[in-house]
Amino acid sequence: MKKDININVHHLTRVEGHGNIVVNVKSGKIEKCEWQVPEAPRFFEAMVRGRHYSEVARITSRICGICSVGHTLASVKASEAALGIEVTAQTKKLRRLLKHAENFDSHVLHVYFLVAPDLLGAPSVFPLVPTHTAVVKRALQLKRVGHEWGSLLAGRTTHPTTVVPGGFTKLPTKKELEALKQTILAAEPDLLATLDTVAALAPKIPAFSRPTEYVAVSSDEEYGLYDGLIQCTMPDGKKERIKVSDYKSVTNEWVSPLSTAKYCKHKLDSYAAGALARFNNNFEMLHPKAKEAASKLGLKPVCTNPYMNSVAQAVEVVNDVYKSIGLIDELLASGIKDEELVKPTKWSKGASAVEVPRGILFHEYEYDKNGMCLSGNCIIPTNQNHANIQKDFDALVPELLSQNKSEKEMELALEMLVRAYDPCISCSTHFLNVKFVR
Amino acid sequence: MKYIIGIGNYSMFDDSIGIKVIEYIEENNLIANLIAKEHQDSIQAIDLSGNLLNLFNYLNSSTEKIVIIDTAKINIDKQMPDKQQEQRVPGEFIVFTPEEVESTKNLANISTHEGDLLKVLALARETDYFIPEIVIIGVIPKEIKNDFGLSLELNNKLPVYAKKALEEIL
Repeated sequence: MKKDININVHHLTRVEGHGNIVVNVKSGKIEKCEWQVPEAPRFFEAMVRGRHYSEVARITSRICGICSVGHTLASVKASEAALGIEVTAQTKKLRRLLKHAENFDSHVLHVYFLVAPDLLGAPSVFPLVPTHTAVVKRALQLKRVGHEWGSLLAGRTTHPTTVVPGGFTKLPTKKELEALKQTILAAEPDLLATLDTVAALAPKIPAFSRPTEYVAVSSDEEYGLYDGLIQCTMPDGKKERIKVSDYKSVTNEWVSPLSTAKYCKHKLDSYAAGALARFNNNFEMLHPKAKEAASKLGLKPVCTNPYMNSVAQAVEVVNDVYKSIGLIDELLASGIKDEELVKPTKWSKGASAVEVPRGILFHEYEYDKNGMCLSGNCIIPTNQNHANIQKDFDALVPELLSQNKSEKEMELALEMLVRAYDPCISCSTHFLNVKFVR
Repeated sequence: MKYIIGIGNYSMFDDSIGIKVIEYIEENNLIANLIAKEHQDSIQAIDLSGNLLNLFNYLNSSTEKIVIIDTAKINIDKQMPDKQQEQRVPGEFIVFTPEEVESTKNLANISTHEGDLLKVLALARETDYFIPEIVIIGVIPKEIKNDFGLSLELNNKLPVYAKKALEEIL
């Protein structure tokens, strides 16, 4: 049936920031199908110019309240590359442990609070409290574990204070690491229950496939989160690795009239970043328990269903837990040593790539001989995903029309698709808007 | 323990006031300078930024009191003849408890960026979390926009807000 569809979702909910979905279909013909990102860009690059290298990470961590650990790590790594700083093995391990904490914390929030309501047919988490009390309490408990985990290493989980170029300003003690290990291990039952919940909900995830390119940090030493090269996996499974310093040859930013954020493309018209991209690139490096979880949840590389990003996040939560236990054991075995911050050996330009929960993040800085920042560049994963979301829309809308979906069903399918990417478009405000009742 | 918690977004101008007050307290070492020595170890200043769900970490029986600093827009209800209902100007603040107000924000859910404090507290109550004594210092913003810094009206009063937070926590 040739029908009219008018979808106009202004400020999509349950995503971080503001984005719009606009679809107009007239007599069965698609006139408009857009993922719009209207927020004004923020000029962090300008903010870091003229700042000392010791201040830069403090500023860039403010780009995002959720990924502030990732921005801090990307920032200090880029500064270290520019300043010729090679950090110690202990610092790398502690930073990896911190990176896992951020990933765990953010994924728990996304899977439980932002995605699950869609799959349970609820508009938000609130109606789920009386019907799924244990699940909501479990989610809050896991969030708490993530918070304690990150706080121990970063000084605080929001905008870390301990992570600086050259190392850490404060180290966890042996006793604190032992306690952290026990806290994480105590979360195992909740972790297994999470997998059961996701497995129960997985059949409700829309079946949609659009092969694309997947870009992520990749390493032979770890499941690429903290460090490695840039890796691209094509839909046929072919992989290519690229030096981090050549990141612009991957991102190829361009300006779309639909968005104040820049779009990115590499070998295809768009590429995907995020948990699914990491999974597709680095499956072999997952902890065996995370591989088991993937099998239980029916996730195999190369998965081309973008809705499965949330399932890949659940797999990564398992990976975060068990990889971190291993890291803690290694740190305890070698003992935590007091270490001086490693000093700069040169003044130049350097880039870094770190995986934040939403995907690969690039930072780059150039410093003068006084250690003052001459220029900065930052390419966030959500921006790298915008073009891919648009391409998904272009493929999904005709599919939904051919399935004779109603306007409401189409709207939900498109909203869920955007949410699956876990976009962080730009931090919005949290002000109280109140009226007195007493 | 007692916590002074700042909420907001650092890069949304006056929405950052909660974080800036925490920074002001830390930079000027106000807990050590203004609080009696026997109470200093039991008071912490926390920058929660926009991670509202992390408030749950402080909702337990070992928390005696929480003072929260946030931006607040007050909706005047003429049926409520109360001094709290007076028209406020940017930079002024109002001190209230969560029970005294209801949120007029129309939000679909709690996420890190999208919720508000009152919704987080509602979720805490519904999931049986211990709610300690909570006082909110709501600062009336002049402008919330995509920029760093604060309006002059708010910036000039940073010492006032910090002092008020320290008075309330005791």
